[in-house]
Amino acid sequence: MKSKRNKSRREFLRQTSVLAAGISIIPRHVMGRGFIAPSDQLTKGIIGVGGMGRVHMSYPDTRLVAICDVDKTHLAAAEKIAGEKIKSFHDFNELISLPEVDIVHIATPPHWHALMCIAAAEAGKDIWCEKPMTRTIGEGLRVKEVLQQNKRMFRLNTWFRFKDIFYGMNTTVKPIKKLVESGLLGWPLTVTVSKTTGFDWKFYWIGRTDLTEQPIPPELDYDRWLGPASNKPYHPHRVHGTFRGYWDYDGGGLGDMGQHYLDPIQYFLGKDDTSPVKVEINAEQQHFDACGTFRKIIYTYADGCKIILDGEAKDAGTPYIEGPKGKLFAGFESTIPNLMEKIAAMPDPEPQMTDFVESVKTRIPFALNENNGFRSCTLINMGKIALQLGRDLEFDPDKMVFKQDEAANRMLNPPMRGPWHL
Amino acid sequence: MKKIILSLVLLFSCLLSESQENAVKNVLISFPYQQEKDIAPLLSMMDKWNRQQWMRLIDSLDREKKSVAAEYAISAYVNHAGQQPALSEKIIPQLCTALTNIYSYSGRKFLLQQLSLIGNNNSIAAIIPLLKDTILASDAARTIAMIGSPDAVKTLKKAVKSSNHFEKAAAQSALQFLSTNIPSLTGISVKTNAAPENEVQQLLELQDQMEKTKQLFQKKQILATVGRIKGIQALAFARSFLSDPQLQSFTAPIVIRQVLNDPNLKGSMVGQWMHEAMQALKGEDSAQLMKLVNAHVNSVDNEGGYTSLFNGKDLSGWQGLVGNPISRSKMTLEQLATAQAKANESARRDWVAKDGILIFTGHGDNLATAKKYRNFELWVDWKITEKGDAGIYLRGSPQVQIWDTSRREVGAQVGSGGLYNNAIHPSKPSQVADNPIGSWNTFRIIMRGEKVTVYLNGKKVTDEVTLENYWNRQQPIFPEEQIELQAHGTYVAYRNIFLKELPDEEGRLDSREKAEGFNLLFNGKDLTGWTGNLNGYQAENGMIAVHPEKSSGNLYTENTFGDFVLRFDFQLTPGANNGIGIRTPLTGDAAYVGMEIQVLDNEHPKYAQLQPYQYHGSVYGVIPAKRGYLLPAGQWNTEEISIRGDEIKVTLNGTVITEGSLSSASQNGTMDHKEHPGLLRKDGHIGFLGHGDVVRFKNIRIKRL
Repeated sequence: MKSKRNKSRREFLRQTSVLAAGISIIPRHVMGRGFIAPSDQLTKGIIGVGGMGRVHMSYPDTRLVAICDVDKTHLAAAEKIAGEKIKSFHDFNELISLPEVDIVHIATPPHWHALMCIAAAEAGKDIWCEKPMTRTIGEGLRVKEVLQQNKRMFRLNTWFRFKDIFYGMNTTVKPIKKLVESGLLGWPLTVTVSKTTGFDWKFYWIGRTDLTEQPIPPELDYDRWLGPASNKPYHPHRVHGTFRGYWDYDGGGLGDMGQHYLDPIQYFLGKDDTSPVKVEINAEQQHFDACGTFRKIIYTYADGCKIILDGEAKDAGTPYIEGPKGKLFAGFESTIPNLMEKIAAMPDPEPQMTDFVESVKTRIPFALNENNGFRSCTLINMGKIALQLGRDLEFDPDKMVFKQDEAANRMLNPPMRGPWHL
Repeated sequence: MKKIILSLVLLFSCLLSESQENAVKNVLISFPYQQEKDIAPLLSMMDKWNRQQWMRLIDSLDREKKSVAAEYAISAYVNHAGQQPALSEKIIPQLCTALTNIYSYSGRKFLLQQLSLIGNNNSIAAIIPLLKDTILASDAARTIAMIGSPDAVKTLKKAVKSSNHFEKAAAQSALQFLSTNIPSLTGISVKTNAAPENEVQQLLELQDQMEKTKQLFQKKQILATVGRIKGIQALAFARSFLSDPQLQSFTAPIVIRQVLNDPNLKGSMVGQWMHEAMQALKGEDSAQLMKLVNAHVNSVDNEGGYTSLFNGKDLSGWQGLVGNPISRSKMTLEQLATAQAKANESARRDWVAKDGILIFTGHGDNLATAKKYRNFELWVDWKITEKGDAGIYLRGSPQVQIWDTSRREVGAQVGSGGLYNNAIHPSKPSQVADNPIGSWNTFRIIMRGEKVTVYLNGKKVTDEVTLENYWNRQQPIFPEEQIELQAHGTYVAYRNIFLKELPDEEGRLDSREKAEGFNLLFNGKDLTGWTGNLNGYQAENGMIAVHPEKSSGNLYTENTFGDFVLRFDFQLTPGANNGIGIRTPLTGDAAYVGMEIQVLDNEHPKYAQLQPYQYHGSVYGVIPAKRGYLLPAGQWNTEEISIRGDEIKVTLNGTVITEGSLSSASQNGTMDHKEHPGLLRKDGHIGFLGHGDVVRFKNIRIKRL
């Protein structure tokens, strides 16, 4: 597709601010503490102002100028919150083509992420995207490619690799990363993600198999909501708060929490540039349309490191990380003596760019971007394929294809419903 | 009869269909499965199903109460068959037939989805009619696209020309998928930045990047990476950001961790840097790090360690070059001082120190360290320009070569880092490790004894090669001399110059002494072969050190020696007094019952009133020594005591300071007018005669005559 990119407002701002740097007319302090001129502040437009998108409206450091939703109720609710004049749209392409928008926030269900990322990138926008990054591995590759061709900044919105207490670990990920890098636990490592180690798989995201067609509510443009997904009869359980239960749009509990839980693991195991060579499953049979639960999903990397997603959490004594030389349990309990002291002496991990506004201004990639975000999303998407096919799969992380499994490879990048295509 | 047969056939077929019905029922109630192994026998049974049985099961898709179970059962079987070509060959036609038999849209959508996973070329014909279906057109087109065979492409191309709007649109986007997406999924190779060759090269690159960037964040990223590199240069680089207000608190824990994690980083300079870092330390790990640093300071001995030879600002610690080690040794102190002053003046003109870089402008002479070094590890970065030529002199002698490798006419293509002036031993580096002209290079030079090892940019290019004495090829390299940065008429820049003095190699003699018949009197590790005060004298870091606070008394060799040449190095503390006992018994005052060759810091003011027979090097009380050849306290001196029969000679730092005959010196009474019965002894022990002061000896070797 031909690039539609024009000089973005932000680039214009950057260039003019370089020009004006020496001739600042009003010193900053004259305007008062914390004042940021409206024209300097980055602007954003949000696509999808349902539950998640409306939360985005209040994120600081950026100014909301436009919103978009295919449900009029959502749009009205968001307009009310915005409380000032913002532009609202039904068609995301109109929001993306606004020259005054610097950053496009994508808070739609995952089946739309790829198309919107690509459109926004080609329009010269930087992108803040909700997790999971894309619904399929093929979409992820394409998004990565287009973002890089257009030199866009991308933030995938899960943050545990760089801040906040990491669920049951009672600490941020940083000391875990330092412990792993220290070699104190040995190598390879097995990480178990389960309720007993502090990570709940939230299996209320299961789909229903008994849906009968319901009338489409007048406020919802269901065809547009489906977009690239197959045109299945409307039922309220398919959309809004419960869409995660359907493979067409997401991937159940794995799709919901997977990238929150697994992206930091990929980070501390140092696997941001690769993917597992094997995914094994132990699960109830999955319906072709509705997502179910799993007992275990086991990912194995080429060097023997494993990530075990344990949906049953039966063994209360399971360590979070187990290596040949030591174990780390929930709450950062460990078998290693004087652990905190040893970790303090270890070099810190490389600093991460954790402020997306700064990333956009400096063009330094955000901590969780299209590269590492693609890899951690690939974990989710590999797991989804194995669950749907009900079998273990082997994967080639360099070529990004499954080994000797035609059906699995067909699921890497299934075509979209026309007229949508990558 | 006919009737009977007919009814039998009917009954039989009823029974048969009833059993088929039961089989399907059994299947339907078994799905969805919980454990795959539970339905394995069922799936194997289904492998043998006939067409009717399949039709019955697939027909269930149209029955409201059975459709979900049928979906589970069929998809489980499709997943099972998908792994075995023979089985998929069998099930695919059943699915295709069902596409026309099944009435419900949901059922047909399901079948298309299953075919999209295992469908083959033969399935396409059955799907084509659905391309015209308003609701199923897109699913049908996508299923064909996922089959992806040449026939699939042909089919879609034909469908694009259809007058049916849905067929056309569906085929169009399916074709789009085929043309752009499948290829992008194969042959992906992960793009990762090439890892730097080694840490030395990585550090050079990081220093370059740091100079280029203005982004605070990038500076932090660089510093964090530097923090993972071991060694003095990485530490020094990180430490330089402790004075940057924007980066000091970020840098402080990095510097502290570098030191904590590398036992080689010690000494007073490193201690000072640690102190600076502690001052700037704040934030999350401060308390833990403070604790660790305190424990570290108490456990690490601060002997040795690295010193910085270049302060980045001026020529402190450096001086101009005067002659060469041999010509300098022939000069009087006054002559040397005059020549040195003149040389220093030109050095200040020819060498410029600025912003951490030491530059030779292209005119003038070598720049030499004011201090002499014996064994050492030297780190130095250098940079030359086109046609450049330079080098590092070790022990006052040429040289570790630096040159532009494009200068083939002089043989420079072999690379830098060779011992260029060697005539017998290798003079060329083992590989070319130079960075391009105009970029920095790092030498790590290790000199121990007469052997030199050179690493250039992290690669070993000279491996334990003997450095020959260029100034007198008959002699081995000087044991101790200055280090010089060579001036060879072209621009050269140096930076990051760090040196660590190394102890003499344990139990090692240079080749020439070995050939002459010398043996080690002290093995460098412990006091094997020694007796007496084994408490006050201790072996440490290749030296015998006197610890007078521990115990007083003398240390003696277990063996006795008569005529011999004894060579050793010694280091005095200010005012220190000791002595070398020779031909002495194990008891009594060695100066009288044997002989004592005086060891004394006789330049110290408290010894202003000494008699010449008390000077350093004298045969105490018997034969006087010449004063003025001792190096200042704290520096290492080289001494040789040679005794054969009656004749004794003491050479200090290359100068004979005592020479005489024992019998003639005592013929008419000794100088101190005391009895010296020891002068008559033909042999005895060699001893260190403790006088309560700290003195160190090393490199002690002996040849019997």
